[in-house]
Amino acid sequence: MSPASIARARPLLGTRVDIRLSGMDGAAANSAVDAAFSAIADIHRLMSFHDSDSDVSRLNRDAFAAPVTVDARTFAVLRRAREISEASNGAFDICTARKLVAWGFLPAPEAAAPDPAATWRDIVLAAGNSVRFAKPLWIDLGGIAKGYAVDTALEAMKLSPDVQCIINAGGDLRVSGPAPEQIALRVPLAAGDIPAIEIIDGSLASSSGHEHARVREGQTVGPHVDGVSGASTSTTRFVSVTAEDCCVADALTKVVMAAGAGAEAVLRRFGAVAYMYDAGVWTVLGEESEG
Amino acid sequence: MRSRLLLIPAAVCISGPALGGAFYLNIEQAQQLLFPKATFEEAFHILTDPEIKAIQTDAEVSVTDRKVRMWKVSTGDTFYLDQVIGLNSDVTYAIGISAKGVVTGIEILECWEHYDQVRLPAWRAQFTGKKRGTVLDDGGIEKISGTTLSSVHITEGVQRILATHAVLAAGAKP
Repeated sequence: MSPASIARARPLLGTRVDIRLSGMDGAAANSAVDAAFSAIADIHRLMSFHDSDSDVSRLNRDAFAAPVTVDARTFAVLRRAREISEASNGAFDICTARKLVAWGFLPAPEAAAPDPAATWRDIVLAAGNSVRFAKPLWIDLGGIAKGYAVDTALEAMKLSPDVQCIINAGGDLRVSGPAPEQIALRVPLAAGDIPAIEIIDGSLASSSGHEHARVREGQTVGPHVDGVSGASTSTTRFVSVTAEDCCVADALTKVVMAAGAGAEAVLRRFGAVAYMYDAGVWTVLGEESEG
Repeated sequence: MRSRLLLIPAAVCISGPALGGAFYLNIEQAQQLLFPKATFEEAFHILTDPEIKAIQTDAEVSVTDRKVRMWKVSTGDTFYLDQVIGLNSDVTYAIGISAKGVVTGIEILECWEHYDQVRLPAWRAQFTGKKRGTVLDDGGIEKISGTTLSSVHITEGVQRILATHAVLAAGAKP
């Protein structure tokens, strides 16, 4: 019997999550995909900025007043976010939700107003998945949790290495298995050749601000904030990052959106590669490993 | 992990409708995924004007199609097939609703996105680029960056179907 191939999709994480599997029989493949969707739904529930019962909303509401115990998965994302903030000297910062709310990209949470001076350094992580904020602040995991959801989905499927799988959460995706996949990039403003990334056994995430650029207080702003300057990142730049983990690829797109070529060292540290399109030119940052 | 950038000459790509998307499941497959081993009895319904009005009031979403594609499931639940047509995408999806009116599951059957995308021959091309998702109920993690599928349409569709389910259930009472 030839190995079956299935493709399924569900609306999750505010997007369409698409999972394709080949090299596994139908019933086993379907239950693996069920496990993946259920893992993603858990991350959605825990880390949504909009849902008032999520860990993120509980933190924004209560963590300045007293420590809040969160799910181990939320804690893992917060730890990873801290690592990337540290490595990027704050270019990646989950505390920039304040700006995204001010610019109308996120709704205001039901929580005390944040301190404009608060940064990722004011998030105190302690044993027992306990989190406390040293200043009133709002976090948003929109720049990292989608990638993390993809990672947990792959883990939940417990695939054997010969099974080919691709999990795509609205452009943040992970490829696993023996074969390379070619993924076309939808780059705003690019004309002519069609850019694509060929990837084997790794993750790809992309960011661009173009579609959602808007004018606020006389300035064009996009949905990504440079954690260092507090300003919007370029709304003409497009960035794709490949890395082992989708969580890292997702977060590093924001670092490259903010720092451009200045992100080289951070990319190398995480074994990641960035493909940046700006003003009609492609730049490759980080080290593409030899195949 | 290995990756490399490819620039494919546009001429290599098939011309024609600029669509990205996929066919995932047929109706029977979706039925078996949402309600394994159950049997299904087609119970399509044409909405009356008062029913449409009640649904629109309840869901705050407009009803554009009178025909409700529903199946009674042997488990006592109901299986609905629905379509949402958005600016950026057309989505056909199935939704399972329990006797108590709770969503038991959603599966997308087909999704086509209208953009300046191209269909690449012999490729399993996934179109990256993030997606805007202003979900009405509990929101998406990533409301902010996005380009392709607008999940708001599916959320509105689910609200409309839940309201339809409630209105039809109320009407069926003696």
